[in-house]
Amino acid sequence: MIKLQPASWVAIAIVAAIQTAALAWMVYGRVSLLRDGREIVAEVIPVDPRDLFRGDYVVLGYSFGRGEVPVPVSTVQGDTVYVTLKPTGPGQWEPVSAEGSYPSLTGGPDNVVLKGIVSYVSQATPAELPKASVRFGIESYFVPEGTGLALEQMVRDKKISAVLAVGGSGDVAIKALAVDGKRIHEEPLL
Amino acid sequence: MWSYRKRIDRDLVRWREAGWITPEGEAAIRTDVEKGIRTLGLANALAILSAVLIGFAVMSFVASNWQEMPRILRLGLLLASLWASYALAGVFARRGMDGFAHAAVLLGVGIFGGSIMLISQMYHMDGNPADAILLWAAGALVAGVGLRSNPALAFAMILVTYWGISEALRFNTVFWPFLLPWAIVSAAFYWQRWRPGLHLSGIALTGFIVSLGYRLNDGDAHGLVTAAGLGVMAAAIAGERLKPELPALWSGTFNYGLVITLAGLWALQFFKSPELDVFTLLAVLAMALLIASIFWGLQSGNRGALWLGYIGFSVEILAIYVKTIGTLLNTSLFFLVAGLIVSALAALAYRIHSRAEPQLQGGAS
Repeated sequence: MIKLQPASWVAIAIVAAIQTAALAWMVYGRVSLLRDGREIVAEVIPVDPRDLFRGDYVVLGYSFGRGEVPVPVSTVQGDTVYVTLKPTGPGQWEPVSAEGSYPSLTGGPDNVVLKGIVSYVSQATPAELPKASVRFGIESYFVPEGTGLALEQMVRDKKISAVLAVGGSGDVAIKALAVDGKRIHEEPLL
Repeated sequence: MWSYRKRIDRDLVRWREAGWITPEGEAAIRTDVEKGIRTLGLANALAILSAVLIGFAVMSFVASNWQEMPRILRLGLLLASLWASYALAGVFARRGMDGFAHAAVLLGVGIFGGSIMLISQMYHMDGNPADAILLWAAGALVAGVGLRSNPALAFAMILVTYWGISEALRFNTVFWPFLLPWAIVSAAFYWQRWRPGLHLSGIALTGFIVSLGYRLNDGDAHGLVTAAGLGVMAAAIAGERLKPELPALWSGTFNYGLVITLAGLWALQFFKSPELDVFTLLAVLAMALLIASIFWGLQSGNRGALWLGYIGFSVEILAIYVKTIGTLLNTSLFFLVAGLIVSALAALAYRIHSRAEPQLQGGAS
C-alpha cells in the first residue's frame, strides 16, 4: 500500500528517479562507447542468405565468431571470454586467443580485444585447444519496420561490413553498416 | 476476494449463532461485503488489466521502430510517461483508490521495461537479453518496495524467474545465482505480509529444486530431489508442532514439499526405467506417501494436501498402468491387482474421510 502521507510523493520521486537514472546510465554507457571507442571495420557474413533481413532486424555473422575461437580447456557454454583479434586484411579479423579475463598482452598495437559470451564449445582434442562459437552482442541490427526487404535488395551480392566501436574493456557496439565501403544507416549518438 | 466472501459467510453464521452479532448486523455486513466485491473488485481488476494492455502497447510501439519520431524524442516520451504513471499512482493513492494506484505503479514498471527495450534497440545491443530482464526486475523491485506495491513485487518475481530460466538454459547447468534475487523478492513479500506473493516464491523455488534433478549428477539427481522434498515436508510438520501460530505457512510448505517429492519419485519411476523390483518399491513408496498426505490433509485441515494427495494418487495409478502395459495377460493381471488395491484403499479412505470430515469441519469453521 502506498502510505497516504506527503512522504509518499518523496517515495514516488525516488522510485521514478532511480529508474530514470538506470536508463540514463544505459544510454551513457553506449554513447561513451560509440564516441570514445576504437573504430574497426569487420566484414559481415550473412547467417542465412535467404533470410538475411528477418522481419525488422538483420542477423549479422562475423567470420571471427563462428566456431573457430580457440578457448581455454575448461571453458563451458555461457562463459564470458575476451577474444583477441588480429587484422589479416581490410575488414578481415582472425581470432588468435581467448581468455577468461581481459588480456594484459594483446600481441600488437593493431590487435583488438572483444568481450563475448561462449555459445557453443566443440569437443577438445588432446593436441589443441577446444574451439568455440562466441557471441559479441553485435549480431542484431534493428531496422525500421517494413524497410528490411528494401535493404536486402540493396545489399544483395555486395559485401556488407559493420563499423564497430570497441571500448577499453572489450565492450563493443555497432556504429554503422557499410556496403562496398560506403556507410549506410549510420546512427546518431542519440 | 472470493475466498474472503466464503470465509466471512461461514464466520457470520458462527458469530450470529454465538450471539456476538445481531441478524441486522449480519445483513449489513453481507451488503457491505457484496458491494465491495461487485464494484471495487471489478474496477481494480480492470485497472490492472488496463495497465497490462497499455504496457503491451508500449512494447509494440518500441518494437515497431517507428521512424517518424527521432529516437531521442521516443525515449523522452517514454520517460515522460514513466513519471506520469508514478504521479498518477500518487494521485490515486491520495484519493484512497489503492487498486488504481497499484495499477498505475505496474504501468510505470512496464514503461520502464519498454524503455530498456528501446535503448537496447537504439544501440543494437544484442549481448545478453537476460541482463536486460534482470535490470527490469530490479526496477520492479524498487517500485514494489518503495511504493509498497504488491503487483509490482509479483511482477518482479515473475521477471526474476524468467531470468533464472533463461540463464540456466544459456549455461546449460544449475544457475545458483537465481537464489539471490529470489530471496530478496521473497523477503519483500514477507515484509509486506502478502501471502499470494509467498506462494509465487514457493512455486518458483519448487521449480528450481525439481530442475536440480535434471541438472545435477549428469541429469540423474532425482533421488536428491525426493530427499529434499521429504525434508521440506518433515520441516513443515515439525514447524507446525513448534510454531502452531503460523498454520498457513506450514501447510503451504508441506504442499510444496509434497510436489517436490512427487516430482522426484515420478522421475525415478517413469523417466529412468528402473528394474522391476526397484520400480515396485518406488511405486509402493509413492502410494504410501500420497495416502499419508491425504490423511495428513484431513487431520490438519490442509485442503491443498488433500487435493494434491487425491490427484497425485490418480496420476500415480494411471502412470503405473501405462508403464506396465506388456502382454495382455500381464495387463489383465495388473488391472485385477490394481483394482483390488484401489478398491480396498477407497474403502479405507472412505472410512478415514468420514471419520475425519466432522473433525475438519469442526477445525475449519
